[in-house]
Amino acid sequence: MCGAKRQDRIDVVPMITTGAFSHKPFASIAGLGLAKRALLLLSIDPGLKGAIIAGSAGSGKSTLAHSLRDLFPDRPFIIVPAIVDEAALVGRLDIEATLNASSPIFERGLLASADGGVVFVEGVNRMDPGAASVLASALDEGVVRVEREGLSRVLPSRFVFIGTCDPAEGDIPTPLLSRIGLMVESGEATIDERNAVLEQAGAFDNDREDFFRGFTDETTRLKAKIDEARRSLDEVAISKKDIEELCSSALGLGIEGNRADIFATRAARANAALEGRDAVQESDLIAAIRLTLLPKATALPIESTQKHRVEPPEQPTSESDLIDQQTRDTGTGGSAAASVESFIIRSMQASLPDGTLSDFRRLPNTKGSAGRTRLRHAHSTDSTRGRYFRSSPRRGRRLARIAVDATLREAAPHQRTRRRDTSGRRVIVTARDLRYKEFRRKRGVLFIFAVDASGSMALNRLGEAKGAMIKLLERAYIQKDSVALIAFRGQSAEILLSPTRSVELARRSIESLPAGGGTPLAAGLAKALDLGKQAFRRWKVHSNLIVFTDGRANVQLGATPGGISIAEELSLIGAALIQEGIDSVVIDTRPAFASTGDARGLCELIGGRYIHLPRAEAAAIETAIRLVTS
Amino acid sequence: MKENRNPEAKKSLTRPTSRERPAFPFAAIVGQDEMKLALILNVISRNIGGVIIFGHRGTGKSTAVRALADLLPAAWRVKGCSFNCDPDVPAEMCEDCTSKLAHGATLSRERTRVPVVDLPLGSTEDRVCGTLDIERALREGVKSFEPGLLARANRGFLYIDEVNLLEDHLVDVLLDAAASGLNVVEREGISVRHPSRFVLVGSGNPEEGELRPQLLDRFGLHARIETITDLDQRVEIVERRDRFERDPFGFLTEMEAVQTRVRNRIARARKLSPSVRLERDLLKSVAELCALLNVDGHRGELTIARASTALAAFEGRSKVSAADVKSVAKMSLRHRLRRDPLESIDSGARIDRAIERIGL
Repeated sequence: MCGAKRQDRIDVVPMITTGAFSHKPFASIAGLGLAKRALLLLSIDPGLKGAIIAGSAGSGKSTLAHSLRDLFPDRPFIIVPAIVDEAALVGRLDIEATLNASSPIFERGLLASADGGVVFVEGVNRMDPGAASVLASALDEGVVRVEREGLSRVLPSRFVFIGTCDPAEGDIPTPLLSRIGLMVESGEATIDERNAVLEQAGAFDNDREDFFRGFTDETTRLKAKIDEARRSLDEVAISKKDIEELCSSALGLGIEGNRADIFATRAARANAALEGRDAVQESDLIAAIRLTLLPKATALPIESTQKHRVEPPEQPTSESDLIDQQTRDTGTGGSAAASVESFIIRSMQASLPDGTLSDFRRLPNTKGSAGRTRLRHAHSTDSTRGRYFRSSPRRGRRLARIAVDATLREAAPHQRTRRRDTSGRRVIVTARDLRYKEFRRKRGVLFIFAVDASGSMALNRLGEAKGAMIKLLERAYIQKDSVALIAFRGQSAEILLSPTRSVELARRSIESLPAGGGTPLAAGLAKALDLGKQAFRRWKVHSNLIVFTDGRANVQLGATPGGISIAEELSLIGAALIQEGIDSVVIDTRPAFASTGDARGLCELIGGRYIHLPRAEAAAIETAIRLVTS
Repeated sequence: MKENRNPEAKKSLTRPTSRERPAFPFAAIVGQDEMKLALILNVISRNIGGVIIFGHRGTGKSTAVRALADLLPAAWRVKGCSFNCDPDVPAEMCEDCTSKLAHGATLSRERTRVPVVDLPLGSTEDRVCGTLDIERALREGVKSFEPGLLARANRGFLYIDEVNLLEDHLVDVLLDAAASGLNVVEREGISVRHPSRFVLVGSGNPEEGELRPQLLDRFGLHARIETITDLDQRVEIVERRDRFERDPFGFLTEMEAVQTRVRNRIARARKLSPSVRLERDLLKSVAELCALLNVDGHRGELTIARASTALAAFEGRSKVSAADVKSVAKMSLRHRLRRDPLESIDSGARIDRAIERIGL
């Protein structure tokens, strides 16, 4: 009488591609030296948790990721699409089996299926923050916790993660990033490597089996080497001084938390094991720093030692410039931290060809102003995208998905009476029982603040504008809107804060807003237009633009002299803003007595609404903006 | 009958299942004293109201919470009760146990560990609140209640990692239960109310989305955690982690003596805590401090009083000292200060200044 034994369906999830020759052999991949090393270290020590290969499209990162199968033969290799719902990751009710068995049958999710193997995500930066967090917590704990659709399970889920990302497509969700040990750039291929790839591609397409056979020896050798390294890993010694070196590098590079230290230590030991050494030496430390710390850096050690940084330094034109500058600075610094810095610099110099460092800048930061894209807003429930959070008897306006668990619950108590009149079927569900899934999805308003940070604004109460923005921000948080911050000064505009809901983050970037230089209004508006378009494309979010300025545009967007005037430029951008459905509000920051009507003129040009900033009344501004934008 | 149906649910009430790795021992966690103290105080005195741990990633937030289970004392519960009822407190029992008592039955009891229940992101409402037991309904045509996480967490701890990412709807459910100590379920033809008194523990990183003010206010303490910059400590963390991962059970044995000391100290503090005195004068200064900082409501004062009492008990004293109050003031008030948009100064520093002005 104690109920049926739990029946979990554990057959293979269809997303596993099983073809023996569907990937290229690891040994056949030309170039990508550092990325290949990362995968080797990962297969020697799965405690490194995972590797992310960053690179532009067509740099061979996916091919390499797929070839990881060679290093984990006969293990599950689960391909998880970047756009995946949480149910598919953690598991769900198996509709068909549940109806047949007339008791809830659980269908294992992708993470539990990957236990003992590999999870592969192409384009990790496209992952939804919720799904990424679920993945991250499985990586952390080695189990999946399921508490959904009437099911409660804790399932083992120990896997290594491999992901690819194109840094141009946005940031990697931070919960995931901090739990993955290795990260590497696929970099640009040399001419020789390109040729090798081309030659191989022909052979691979002609006869895959033959192609694989060509690399059998190489693959066998590689596997033997890995096995040997795995066996000796426990014996590899690392001195306290070496661990100190790694920890202070992580500290100097501004990496949050202790996970990076642990990963770096593991990577150094795995590297020594790979090279057949029984103790870590300097080259292992350098490899570890390159693969585990540098890609996650949020600061360069040189910056952290400078106490007063008035202006951000000029963007270095190339990597070598930066390194030169660093080397010079280190030479004059002569502090105790110098040895650590030189370590990091040597790791950098050992890194990939030119351009690597500029790419690192595009890589996600764990901290920092322009490093985050995360939107969580007012929710829309009329959709089938997003997160299933409860069921309802109401059918959505568009595509409706039936909540099987809730429907069965509704139907269950009537089964006895219904069974009397119909025979054969085990569970009889009528239309009245149907329950639909309600989904929540991010949607809301994005407030884009475009702040004039020119020299004239410094006089015209930039401080009060900051106060008004922070006030708005706190309100935006409660309303579950998100904010972004653009500053324009000197010759150009810059996104200081990508769309975020974090008051903390926004406050910090607003507070540290510098001022000085000319007024490139058009550049600021053009950036805002881009951001608004992007927000709509990616998250279907509507944008409001709020411009803080004293209205005197004096720097043109187009460089061509004799082209269109500043006013014409502004009205063109204004027209584009209206076309994109971006409402704009211009806040005049000039004191009333000094107002020249410039800002009012701007409103007319871009078709926005006008608000004058009354002295020190941030709250009044906030209300006014709410009124005009709602 | 019922408890056999869901063996995993039952196991997590007691010990981690064998498939889970053993937890890293609490006593082996290096640094982060504020977080550790906040957790310990909540074990000593359940009415402090829980703790939210906010701070950098990878600093051991969830490690500490998972380590907590091993510090918790054993407790009695009604044998077979899905809600973990305390056999000695009839006033707080579920409907089942109450009606059994009313009919003159004696409730048999069993020893259990205080549960630490995980509320994973992506949970659905039915599993959080509990719902119709579908299997029994289909097989026997009986409408019965299948308890959810709020039932499992009764008299224990409810832990939400990445609490700032939690679905708003679930936040509402939690707020209702936390405010009343009851979980009221009215769905699918089921009408159940059962006790759900839990200590709420949350962790997260505010840079990735903040917590709703109503939920933030529910947490008694707010512990802040930052990346450790002391090199020796960082090296120690790496070395201990390494030892633990190579040989978890060996490491546990190595740490057992220290861990037992902490456990015993907490057990002594729990006994001592009800008799710890907080003098009127000191209480007045606490009220003054909250007034000076413009803290809304009385939760600030109450939390300081309870937390400092627990701290005195932890230190083995029968009287709360000014130093105890000072030690808990920041974590009790940090999240209750009104935000001044033009003020860039850290809330901790504001509290420090206020303490100085009062002359505590």
